[in-house]
Amino acid sequence: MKFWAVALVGAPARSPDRSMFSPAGPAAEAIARLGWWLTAVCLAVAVVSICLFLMALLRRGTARGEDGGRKERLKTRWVALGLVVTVLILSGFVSASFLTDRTLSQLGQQAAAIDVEIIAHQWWWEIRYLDPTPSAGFVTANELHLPQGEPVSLRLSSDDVIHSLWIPNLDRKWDIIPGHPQSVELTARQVGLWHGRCAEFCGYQHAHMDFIAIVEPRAAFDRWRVRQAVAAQAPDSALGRRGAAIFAQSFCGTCHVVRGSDAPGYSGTAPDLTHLASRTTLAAGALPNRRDTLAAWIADPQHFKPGTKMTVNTLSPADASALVSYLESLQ
Amino acid sequence: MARLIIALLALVCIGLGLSLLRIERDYRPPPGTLQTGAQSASVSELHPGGSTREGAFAPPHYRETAATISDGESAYENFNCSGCHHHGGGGIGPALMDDTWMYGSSPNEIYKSIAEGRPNGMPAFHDKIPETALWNLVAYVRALGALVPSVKLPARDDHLQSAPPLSLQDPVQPVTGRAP
Amino acid sequence: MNETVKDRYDTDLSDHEITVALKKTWSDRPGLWGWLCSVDHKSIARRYLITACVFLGLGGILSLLIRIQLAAPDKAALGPDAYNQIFTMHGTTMMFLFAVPVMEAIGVYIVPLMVGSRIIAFPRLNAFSYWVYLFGGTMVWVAFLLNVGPDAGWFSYVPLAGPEYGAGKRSDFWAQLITFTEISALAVAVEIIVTVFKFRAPGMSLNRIPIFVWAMLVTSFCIIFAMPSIVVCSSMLISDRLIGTHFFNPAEGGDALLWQHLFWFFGHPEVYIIFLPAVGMAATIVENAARRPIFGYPLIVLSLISIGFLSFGLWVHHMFAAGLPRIGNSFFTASSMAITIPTGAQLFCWIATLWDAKVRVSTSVLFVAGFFLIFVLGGLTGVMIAAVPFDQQVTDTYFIVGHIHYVLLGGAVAPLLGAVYHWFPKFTGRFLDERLGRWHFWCYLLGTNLAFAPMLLLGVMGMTRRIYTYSKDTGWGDLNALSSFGAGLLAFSFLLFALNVLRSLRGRRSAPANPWDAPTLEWACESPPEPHNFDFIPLVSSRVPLWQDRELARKVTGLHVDSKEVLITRGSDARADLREPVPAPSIWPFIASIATTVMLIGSIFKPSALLWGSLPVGAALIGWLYPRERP
Repeated sequence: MKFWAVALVGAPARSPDRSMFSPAGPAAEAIARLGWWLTAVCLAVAVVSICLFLMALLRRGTARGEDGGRKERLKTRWVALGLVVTVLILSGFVSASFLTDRTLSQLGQQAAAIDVEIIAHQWWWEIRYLDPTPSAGFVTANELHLPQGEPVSLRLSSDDVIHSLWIPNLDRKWDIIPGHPQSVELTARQVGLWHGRCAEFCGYQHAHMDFIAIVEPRAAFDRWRVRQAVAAQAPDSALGRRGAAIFAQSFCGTCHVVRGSDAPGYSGTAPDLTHLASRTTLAAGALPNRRDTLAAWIADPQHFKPGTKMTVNTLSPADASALVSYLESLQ
Repeated sequence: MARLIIALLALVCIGLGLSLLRIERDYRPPPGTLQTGAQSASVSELHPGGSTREGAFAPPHYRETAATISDGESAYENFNCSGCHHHGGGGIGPALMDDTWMYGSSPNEIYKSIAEGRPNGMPAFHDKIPETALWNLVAYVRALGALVPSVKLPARDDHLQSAPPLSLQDPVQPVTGRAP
Repeated sequence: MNETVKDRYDTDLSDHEITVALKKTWSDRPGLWGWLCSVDHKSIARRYLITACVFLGLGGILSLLIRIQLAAPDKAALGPDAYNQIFTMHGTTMMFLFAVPVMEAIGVYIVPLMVGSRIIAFPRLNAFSYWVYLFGGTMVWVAFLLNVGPDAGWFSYVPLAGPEYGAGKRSDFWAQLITFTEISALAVAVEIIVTVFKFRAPGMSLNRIPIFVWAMLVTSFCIIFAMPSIVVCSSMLISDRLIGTHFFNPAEGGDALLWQHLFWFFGHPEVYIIFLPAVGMAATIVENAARRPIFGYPLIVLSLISIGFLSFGLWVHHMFAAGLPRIGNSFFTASSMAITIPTGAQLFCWIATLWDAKVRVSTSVLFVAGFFLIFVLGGLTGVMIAAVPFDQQVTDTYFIVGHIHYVLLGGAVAPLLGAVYHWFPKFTGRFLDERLGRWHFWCYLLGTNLAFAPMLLLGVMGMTRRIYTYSKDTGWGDLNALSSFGAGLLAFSFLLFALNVLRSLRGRRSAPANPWDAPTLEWACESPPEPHNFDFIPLVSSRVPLWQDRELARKVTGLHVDSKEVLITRGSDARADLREPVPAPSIWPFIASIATTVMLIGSIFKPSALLWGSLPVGAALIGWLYPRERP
């Protein structure tokens, strides 16, 4: 019993990097404020109305018998008062909602220096950082880096079905509907690692379509960007080179792009792996990025994400080791 | 009262019985092998002078269902089959929507065409496309050629319409041989 | 001329002879044939109720499967394909095969009795609507058991449910189920409206119509205006999937957002279609429990009507995250909040009714209390999500799942259960056990809150909807486990209810006509009512006729007793107008429903089925409508 009580009370604090009530950006802060007000007033109204009903039910009243118009008039006045109070509270809510909406709209109209295009696929996120200099732009997947305190322009589109981009700590969710691309702005204020998810049911692996939003100071962000724009280097070790050959000559390379390698790769079919080793997670947030998880994922993606489009791969231990070494070199 | 209980029990039994007739959908594709190294050429089942036995060999995990055909359709775009065959009408490569099958229309023959390639420009995709996707492509190619019952076929995809609806095609009798 | 055909008037006979003659005239033929041919609204409503309860049980089993899968992180009880079909079937079954039909069932049973009529309007259409509902529900469940059940959610968004991403016939079964249930619902809506407008007992002017009847009337109008929208969009979906139209294909000029607009234009009134009858039931129980006419009758009626109107202006609140223009969204915030006003008005009137009344807290009243304790929380979370920015954070999360279950279990199911306790003696002639009823209520209340309060928290902690599993480091495990426990308790409460019903049904009939000393006309009949409902149609001169004159001394005479005949009234004050013969029991509704079913199921597979399938339907309709000397 005590466990449940603690669990209930402490629950929202247990997922601070996924909770809308732990805002890390101005938009989420505005919404969280609105949310607190709504919760408080609605709880109060609930308590009052339930108490009134229980009093009405449990009071000792008279048996059936009219007692004239006075009581009826009194009741009419109380009901009218209740309606007036309801209208006032609702007007307050509507105003608060409208004001918060206006704040969000103003936040969304700042000039953004950074352009990111996010294309949602079943069941991963293609993230393209655009730059006026084409060679400074790059493609990555499932990880979004944001500079602290500066607005970033996001162009959202979907390759297949409806998805929805949602980072609770930073901002509201945006449905990405095929045929209705959205252009939004996102500003993050607090440095840290925040979890994002797809928030519109999109098929078998909707449950495992997460991504990470990493907010870092501008300098660190710029350094990251520069590193990501560089093509992959040839691996140093023999094992790594063997892994690169396996990658390029087999069907890994048919779907996954590694810029700078020999792999043919059709962009948009599968996540770009050019800098796979620099990422925090694998498989759209399903697994942490480590050697053992990477090997397990390659061997049997269907075990972690049944229904995903990547097939099971039976490799000899030597080949598996080579491939993983190569992928780990893609910093 | 007794009738109600019997009726409910009958419902449960019917339900359990129906569960045995389930139409399986493999959303977890069966294992494929990551090929490394050269493949030896395998012998075709084509014989001179006549068509092959239709449906001669369909391997255990070849399934011609709505799900595999749909997966085959997306594989067709992802692996750029439309680059040469367009949306079935042919271009650099021969048409896939007509009734002429140069190298046979059985699932195994189509698989060989894609995996091992054919003369005059069809590349060998055996180490470029996973086996599951290959079999899905086989199913889709047969669907393009109107060899699959229309009830399993989608009417359209979510792109510009490039061909009449697959589900409204009339079934055809495949003819093996070179296109005229 | 056949001299032996009797055609006597009730003025020629004694009271006892009248009862015997009417009973003989209005009874169904015995055996299976009579059961298939029945056009008695009570018999058909019983079938609706039992079938809806079966679907409730099936949907409940699905919900337990969902809760088992989600009880702990990374559970492998269900894979994603099975899970997707299960949650889709849970929503579809509960919304289309339980919630609307069960409200209609009670309406079909009670409304004719409450207005003092012997029949419901269009009795054969009533029978047809039941069969179509049964066959449609069976179709989708057979499909589900064959692993071709719909798997795109109960609102089936395109493009996921479209031809490219919804492979196979899964979503086609869903879309065709909609066709079945909408035919059924539209038929019942038409019948109820005509019954209320034309079959009221003389003297039952508009201001004397019971509140439950008003609620069913408004609901029926909502059905008539809302259902066509989903007719259209589900037909467009079938058309896209079957013959390659481009309604929802952006590449060819269609729009995926069109689906959402058309669906939710129906979908929002749908929840009021479920809610309004329940509000009517709760008002009936409150009036009965307070032993006095309900306070604020005109306000309540106007509130019901305004909820009906307003419910059509809310639908975009399901689409706040879809990127629509801000000013459009704000309008729907205001309208979504505005609908709280008439809802609140009704609740205030009930409080005023009970305030100084001596209330006997029976199980029915407990469930109305349950309505307050559960629905108020659900409705207030609804007010919260009417605010666009807040909704844009919590939409498609478990906050919404918590909200919808609170409003449905509190606002619809709780009054429904109370209504069953209230009307059980009328339906069956037996009482439900009050002690077991209390156990049922407290388990229900506790189970609902334990199951769905954690979901409100989970939503703000970031748990999205429709996920088949979640990982341990999300921190959602404890609340999910609590929720699953609550769901188990809620299921147990339904078991208690089933036990109560089955035990009571085995007892002998002991209920008098009016055990609760209730005011409305259904309590003037026997328990259960005779096939002809009333020996004499009463003359009504009060909103609470049985409290004004328990014996109903003033009544209509001069109707035939050897042939089925009804009195049609007209105008807002229900002046007696015509005597109309009533259709005899007929097998044609059953045959027509089979033909319709064959046509609709065939058209899932072949478009030509619409053509050749319509021939048997046409033949059945000709048989049904063929002019006879006596209908």
